Amino acid sequence: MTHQSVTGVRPTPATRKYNFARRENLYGYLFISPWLIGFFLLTLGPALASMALSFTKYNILRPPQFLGLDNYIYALSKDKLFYPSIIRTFYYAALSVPLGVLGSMFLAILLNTGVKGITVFRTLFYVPSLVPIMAAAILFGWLLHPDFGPINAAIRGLFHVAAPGWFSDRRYALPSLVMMSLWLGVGGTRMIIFLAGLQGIPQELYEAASIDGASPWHSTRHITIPLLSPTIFFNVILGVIGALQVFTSAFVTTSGGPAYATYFIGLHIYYQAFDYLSMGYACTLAWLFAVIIVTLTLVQQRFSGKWVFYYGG
Amino acid sequence: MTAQLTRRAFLRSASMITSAGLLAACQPKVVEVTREVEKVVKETVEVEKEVEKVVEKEVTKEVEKVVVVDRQAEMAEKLQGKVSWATWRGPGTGWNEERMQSFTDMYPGVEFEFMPMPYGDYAKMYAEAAAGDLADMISFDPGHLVFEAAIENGLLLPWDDLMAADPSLDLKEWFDVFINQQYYQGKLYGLPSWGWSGHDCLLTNKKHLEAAGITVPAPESRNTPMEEIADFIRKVHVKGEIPGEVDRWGANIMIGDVAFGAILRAFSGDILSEDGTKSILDTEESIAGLKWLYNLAVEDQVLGWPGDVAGNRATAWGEGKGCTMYGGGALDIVRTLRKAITDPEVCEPTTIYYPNRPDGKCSSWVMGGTWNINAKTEYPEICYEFIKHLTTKEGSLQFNLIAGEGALVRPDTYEILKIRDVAYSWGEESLFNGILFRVPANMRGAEVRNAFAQQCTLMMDRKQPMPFEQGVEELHKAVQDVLDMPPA
Repeated sequence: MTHQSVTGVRPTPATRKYNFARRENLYGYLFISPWLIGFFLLTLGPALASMALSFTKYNILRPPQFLGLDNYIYALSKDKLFYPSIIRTFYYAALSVPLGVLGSMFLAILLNTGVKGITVFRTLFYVPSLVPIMAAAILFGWLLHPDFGPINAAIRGLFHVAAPGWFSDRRYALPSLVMMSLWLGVGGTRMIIFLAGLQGIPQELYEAASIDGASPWHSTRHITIPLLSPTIFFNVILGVIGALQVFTSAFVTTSGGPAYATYFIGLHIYYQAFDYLSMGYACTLAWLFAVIIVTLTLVQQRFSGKWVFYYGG
Repeated sequence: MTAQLTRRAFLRSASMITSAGLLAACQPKVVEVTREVEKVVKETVEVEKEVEKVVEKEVTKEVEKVVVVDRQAEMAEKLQGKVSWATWRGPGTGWNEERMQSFTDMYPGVEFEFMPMPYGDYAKMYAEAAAGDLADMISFDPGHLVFEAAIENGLLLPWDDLMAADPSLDLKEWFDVFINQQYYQGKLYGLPSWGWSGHDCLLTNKKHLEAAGITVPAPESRNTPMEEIADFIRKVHVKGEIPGEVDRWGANIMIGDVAFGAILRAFSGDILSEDGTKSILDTEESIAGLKWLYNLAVEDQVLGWPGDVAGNRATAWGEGKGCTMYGGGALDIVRTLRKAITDPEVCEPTTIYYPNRPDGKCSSWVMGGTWNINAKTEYPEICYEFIKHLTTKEGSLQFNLIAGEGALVRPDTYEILKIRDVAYSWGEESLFNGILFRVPANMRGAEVRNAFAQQCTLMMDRKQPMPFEQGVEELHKAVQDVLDMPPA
């Protein structure tokens, strides 16, 4: 076989194609490199570091001390607050997500009508989602104040019964947080996503149904909801992930009380990390919870095929 | 007793004072001579009453001036540099700026970087320490159970060398009980900032008690039995027209180790053992204290918790609403409650102290803060001198009156405060006869506090209470579980 120098070889079509693909890949990576650098340095890197720290005793002031699986064993077998806080967090999600998704969907259906001034209504419904959680917490603290809050004043005035303690009563503290999350979230991005989904449903299906004598309810049940199911699925996934990470509202309004009534896993992680300086253990809790969230998401994905319908697919 | 002043006595006194004055002008024996002069002045006062004030003032002032100027002159050249000061005490009141400015006036070579902090943000300080950004002067308050851990983690500078180089520092300027809190394993790590004894009384609206036909005990009295106090609370409690509603709670006692601890101590109990390794909530005495609280909260339902009282608690109380009695210390009256009183006909403050214990001690919880020096500071001497400047009589008085802190840490300041407001004197016995707070041996103070507060809320929830015995057992276990954890 004759060996020829590279400069003397004319690239074949296959080589030309390969070089072009490589160059294209290179440019692609170059353009996303700012994001990639940020991802590795600020997301993946710290995540891996926290995984490593989860096997240590670390109070940030002294070097980490390797403990093996002790933190995980403690969390799963001895930490009296771990399981209750997980269960409480799921309870919160079980209340807030369905109500939130249904509420957003209902609002989106209403806002999808062509009535006059609909844009004003869309804006009004969306505005609460722009309120920072801190401000919302203070607002709800006043609204739901047991003694001088307007909600309780209305309850006493209208029904002449003792009004609830809301944030100061452990039976009502968690539902109060759910109410706050609904006020913040029902008219927000979720509603916008539902609106987009609704506007993606072909109108001819409604026309055909109308011709066949379907009532509005039949149209909603047999056209809107099935064709909106991918959007519902998407919002449920995001809603669950968001609800399970509940922290700020509980931290500001109740600090996890009264009597652990709103002591979510997010708060448990926070207190371990920043109040008790057990950073290693806090990382352990965070990773355990991350595994739970991922598992739940995969389960939802697995079963989505039974109820999510993709039009045309 | 009247005493005649003889010529001999006057000449003797005058010559001693003159000699002392001459000696005082000589350095470096200034400190020792100062103390001798003080003794003489006091003797002179007894004999020569008409010139008492003049003599005392003159001598004291003269000596003091000499000491300060000399130290100042000595340090002026040494103190050069920029130091940072991080605190949440005082920002926005002008006190911090005044202290820094007056220090810079004395030592022009010093610059400050002032770093106001969010209240109680020890986590931020720990993070700064880990990043190497911790300010030169910080506070890890013993009263917040973070002092020992900060020292164990190498954050605070011991003051031995600094004190050895400074003969003018006299730790007797501060009450022993607060100076003692600055020590850890035999070494001093700071000087007292805030300090009080508290939550050993019920701040009471006297008008409500009188309206209920109760003879109000004297504000400084320590003779009212706990059962009588419980009876007061029941009598002043006002139910609402709607069943289940309350117009005015008998008392509002903050759930937590400080307020509840004082009540347990009134029954000779406590939360922790003295060595901080055991929960003693299962002792007969502590159980008696818990039962007192439980009866009021659950059986009688006359105790309102935070969140039950309308609006800002102090504002409501000042308007004669919310509750009649509110757990705290006499210092609360001067710091917040007097300002909240809009109509003296509606609210007149007084204190009802828990009774002294059989061992003679007050049930009060004495706790205090500190000013510390970062172990890694480049300017320990500047920090040392500035902290002394913060805690002088003037600095401490302004810390109370301008910065609004409760700092009953100096005898001289305390005397002035008592003249300004009689309420300061109501708690005097608590200050000197109280019990120091107890620290968990494993330095998990924050966890003990949280576990105690949450479990107490669970136990004494009037709408869903736990049976008392079960509540005590679970409370004791919750605290002991934290104490059994390895050291933080």
